[in-house]
Amino acid sequence: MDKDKYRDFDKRIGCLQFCFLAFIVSFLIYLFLLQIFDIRHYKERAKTQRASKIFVLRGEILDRNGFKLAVDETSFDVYAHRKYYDYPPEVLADKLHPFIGGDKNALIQKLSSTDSVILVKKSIPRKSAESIRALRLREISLEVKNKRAYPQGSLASHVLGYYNSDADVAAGIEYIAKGYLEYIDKNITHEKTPNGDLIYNLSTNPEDVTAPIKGKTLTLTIDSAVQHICEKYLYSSMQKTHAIRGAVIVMDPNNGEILAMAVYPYYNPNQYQKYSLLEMKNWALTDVYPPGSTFKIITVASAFINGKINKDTQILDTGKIKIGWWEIQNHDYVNGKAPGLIDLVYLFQHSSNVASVKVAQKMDDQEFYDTLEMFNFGQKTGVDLPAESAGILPKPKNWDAATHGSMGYGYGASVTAIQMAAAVSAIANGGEWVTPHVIKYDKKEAEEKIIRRRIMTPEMSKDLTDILVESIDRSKSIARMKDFRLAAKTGTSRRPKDNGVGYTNKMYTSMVGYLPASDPKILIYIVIDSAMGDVWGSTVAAPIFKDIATELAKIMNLTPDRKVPLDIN
Amino acid sequence: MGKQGEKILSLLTFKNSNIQDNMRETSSRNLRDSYRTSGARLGSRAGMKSSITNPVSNNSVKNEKISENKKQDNRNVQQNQIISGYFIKEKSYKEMVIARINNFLCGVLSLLVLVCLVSYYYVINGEIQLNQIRKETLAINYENEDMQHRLDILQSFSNVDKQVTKTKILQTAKQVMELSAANLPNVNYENKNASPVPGWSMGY
Repeated sequence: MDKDKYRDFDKRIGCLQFCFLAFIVSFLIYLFLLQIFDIRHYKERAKTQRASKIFVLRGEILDRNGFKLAVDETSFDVYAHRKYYDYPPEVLADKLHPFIGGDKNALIQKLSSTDSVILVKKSIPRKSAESIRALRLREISLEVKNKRAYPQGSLASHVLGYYNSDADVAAGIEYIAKGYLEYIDKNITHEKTPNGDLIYNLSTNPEDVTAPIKGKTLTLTIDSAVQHICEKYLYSSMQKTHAIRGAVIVMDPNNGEILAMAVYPYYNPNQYQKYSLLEMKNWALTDVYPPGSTFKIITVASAFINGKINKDTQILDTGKIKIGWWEIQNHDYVNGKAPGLIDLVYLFQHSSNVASVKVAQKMDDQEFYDTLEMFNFGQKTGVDLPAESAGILPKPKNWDAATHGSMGYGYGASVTAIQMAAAVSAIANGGEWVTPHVIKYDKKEAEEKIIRRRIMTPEMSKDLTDILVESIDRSKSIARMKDFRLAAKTGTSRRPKDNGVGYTNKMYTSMVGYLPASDPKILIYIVIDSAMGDVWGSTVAAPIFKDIATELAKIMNLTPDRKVPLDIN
Repeated sequence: MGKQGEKILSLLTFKNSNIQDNMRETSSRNLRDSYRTSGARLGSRAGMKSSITNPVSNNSVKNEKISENKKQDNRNVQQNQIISGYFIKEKSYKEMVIARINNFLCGVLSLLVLVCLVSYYYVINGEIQLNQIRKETLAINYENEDMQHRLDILQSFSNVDKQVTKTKILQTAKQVMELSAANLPNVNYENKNASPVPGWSMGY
């Protein structure tokens, strides 16, 4: 009896031992599978659980001298979570009001909302956020975010554009260089405890975790001082002439770098919400207009390139000419006065429409069109700013005699300000067209992004420059400079109607020029839309050109190229 | 001593003689078993079959009988034993060495655990301090950035222009007034080279 009992007991114990053993073995197998086979999956899960959201600031935008044009500031959004309310809204409002400001009753109303998550206040500064955090209110949470700030205010606003981090909306260079500004060099990943403390490991770099992580810093070709001067004088001209809008482009013709691009009306990108789209539009790139007499430089250059004229060519100026159904006359044509046989200096000095038409007529449609294409008219310049227009250059098959003729003095085609500046820049640069740009590229990038295209020989460009200088020197233009040889041309053109059919009685006045003419360092292009009063290129654009050129020559320390100072009185 | 005492004494002597007999039998059996197992071990080492190497018996019937007897004896011993308890077994030299190594390893392990605990404490403590320093540095860095931004705004072209216009420091005079020389009273030049007498009011 006892023997059987022991045997049963032994059996049960054996079974139990077997069960335990089976359990331990299966448990070990499970652990083995979990920790060896599924290791990657669980490692990833653990990492994502502990990985903290990396807060990255956008890179700064600097001008060519290192002045900060755009920076990122941190601000905080304050949220209230209704289900964690320990205090009634009135008490909460009492606690928060000193740091949030505004109307207290409105704050109470906000906090009394039935929403589960309430946005109490957007974009409060760091100090206020820290004070709120010190209150240790579990119903209040703070979300850090970056806010773009433009320390120079409205300076170069149309180049910089704006950036809205909430909606991820951008314009200008902020839009073009988004990827660059938000790029992080190192693959920084942090693991944090639920308390927000960092989990250090061997690869943790103390520098990475103690300094705000920033994107790449972008340097522009813009010179803040040049930009400021352009904006200041453009603004004063706008006030004086009561014009609708204006633009000044300053370029280095040797490398296509844009030193300044002032576009009026200005706007402050720190408060871009307050401005209309029309105000924020960089119309120097987007809008086209007939260039007027400044285009005569291109007409003459085209005839040079096609070998139709040279610096000694003389043209019979009859004062008035009829091409097909279109009658063209000089602006100073009065009662049958005709200058007769004129040279190219006279053409530019008196801005002869008839002579320009005749120069244009020396080329056939295709020749003229092809040369204008070489100057990049009718296509985008490729400037590194968004929303550039290609301008309007009709195909030669659509040209008639009137189109061809009017093209000669700047009416057949419509151009953007940047196209015009880049085209004249090519003449200043010894006949080589260079892509205008605002981002300072390194050598390798420049080779990829900057197109250099020879249009005319350096000799031709020198001849044309000399003609332009002489035309200014001979004239009584206000833009003449005492110490510098200036190659320039003014222009006046009628403003087309908004529907594109016919012209209004308003004018575009413009002036383009470069100095020192012997070795051009800067090219200035000015265009002013719908000025009031005595509206001519020489009366509206020339004074501001003179002011800007004089100031720039000073601050850029340009070497005068005139041996004997010009008597400009 | 009475009859009762004699009876107990005889019982004890009987039991003692019984125990002694049992012990003798058990020891002889143990000796036999150990001899048999060592023989088996030797046999197995030599590659011989156990039935051939068993010196006690060669047939299986005898073996069964012996095992039956052994079981019976064991039962007898269990039933008859009167002293029970824990007796220290003799340890072999090998066991002692193993025990010593085990003890040493246990000591080392305990020491390691202790070192781990202490270093863990220091690491965690260091990490807490590091986190604190990180937070403070980060706050300073952010504050520095904010101040730098404020400075950038203050020295921006537009602000400088605004301030210059406000304070009119660069304003040129529209009109210059010419004044005639003021009529000064007669000045006594007699004592012009005499050094002034210092007064206590100057702070000596």
